[in-house]
Amino acid sequence: MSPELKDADIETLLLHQPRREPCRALDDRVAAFFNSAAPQQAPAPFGAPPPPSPLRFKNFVYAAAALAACVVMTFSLMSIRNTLDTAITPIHVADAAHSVTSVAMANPIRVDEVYSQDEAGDVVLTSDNQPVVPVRRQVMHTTRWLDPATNVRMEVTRPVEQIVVLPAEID
Amino acid sequence: VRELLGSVYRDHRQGLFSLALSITGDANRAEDAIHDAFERLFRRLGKPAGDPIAYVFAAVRNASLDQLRRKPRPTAPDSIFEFLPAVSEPSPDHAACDAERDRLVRAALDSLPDAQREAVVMRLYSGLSFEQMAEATREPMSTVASRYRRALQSLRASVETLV
Repeated sequence: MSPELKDADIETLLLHQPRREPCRALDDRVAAFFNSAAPQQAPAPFGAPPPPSPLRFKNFVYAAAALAACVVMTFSLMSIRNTLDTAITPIHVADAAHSVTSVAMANPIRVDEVYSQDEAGDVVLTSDNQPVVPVRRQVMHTTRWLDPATNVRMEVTRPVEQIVVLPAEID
Repeated sequence: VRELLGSVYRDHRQGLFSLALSITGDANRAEDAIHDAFERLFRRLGKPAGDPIAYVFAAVRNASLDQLRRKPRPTAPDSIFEFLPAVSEPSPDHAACDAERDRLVRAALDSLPDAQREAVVMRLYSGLSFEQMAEATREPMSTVASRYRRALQSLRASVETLV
C-alpha cells in the first residue's frame, strides 16, 4: 500500500466494499404503491372551484346528440313530405323505454345502457286525406368498460334518431 | 409522476437503502423508512419542483430521521456493508493486509459523525452530485462539499494508520 493516500484512493477503496442489499420484500412493499389505485385526493380548499363533474361530459354528449337529432329531423321531415304521397306503412312504436343491462366479463366489466324517447309531432294529412302523425324516436346507446384492476374506464355513446309515421285517429 | 417515482426507486434502491441504513443503523427500520417515504410521496403525488432524485432522497432521509425520533439509533448499529468475503490472494500477506485495510475503512466509515457518514453514502453509494445532496439536505452546496472532504480526510487518516 502506498504510504500517501489520496481522496480518490479512499473513494476507490470504499466503492470496492460490497454493500448490504435491501431484501426483496421491500421491493414488493414499494411496488404495492405503484400497483394500487389512485390515491384519494385531498379535499379542495374553501372557495376553490368545484372539480369537473362527469355529469358535464354526459350533458355535453346529450347536447351534441340533440343537435344531431335536430339536423336529422330536418332532413327527415323534408323526406317525409316527399314520401307522404306514396303508400304509408304504419309502424308500431313502443312507449318510451329505459333498459339497463350489465354483463360481467372476465376483464374488464362491460355495462350497456339504452335510453329511448318518443315524441309525436302534429297531425298531418296525406294526399289521400289520411291523418298521420310523425313520431320522432331518439335512442341513446351507451357502453361502458371498467377494468377493476387498473380502474381504467371507457365510455362510448351512440345516438340514433328515427322518424316514423303512424296513422292518427281524429275524433 | 408515478412512473418517475418508480424509475427513481428502480435506479437508486441500493443507494436509498444504504442512506436509510446509515441513518437508522437498523436494516428493518431502514426498509420501514423507505416504505414510509414512498407512502408519503404517493399520497402527495405532486410533481417535484426540483430534481426528482434529490426529492426522493430527501423524503427517505426525512423518514429515516423520523424513525430515529421514535427510537434512537442502536448502540451496535448494522453496518451498511456486507460481511467480508474470503479473499484468495497469491500471497497470504497481501490477503491479510487487504482484509485489514477493508476492515479499517469500514469501521472508520461507521464511526464517522452522522452528517459526514451521510455525505459519503449519498455521494459515493448513491451517486448524487453535490447539488443534489444540497437539495436533499436543504443545506448550501459548499457546506455539503466541505463536509464530504472532511469525511474523506478522516477516512484517509484511519487507513493510513495501517501503513
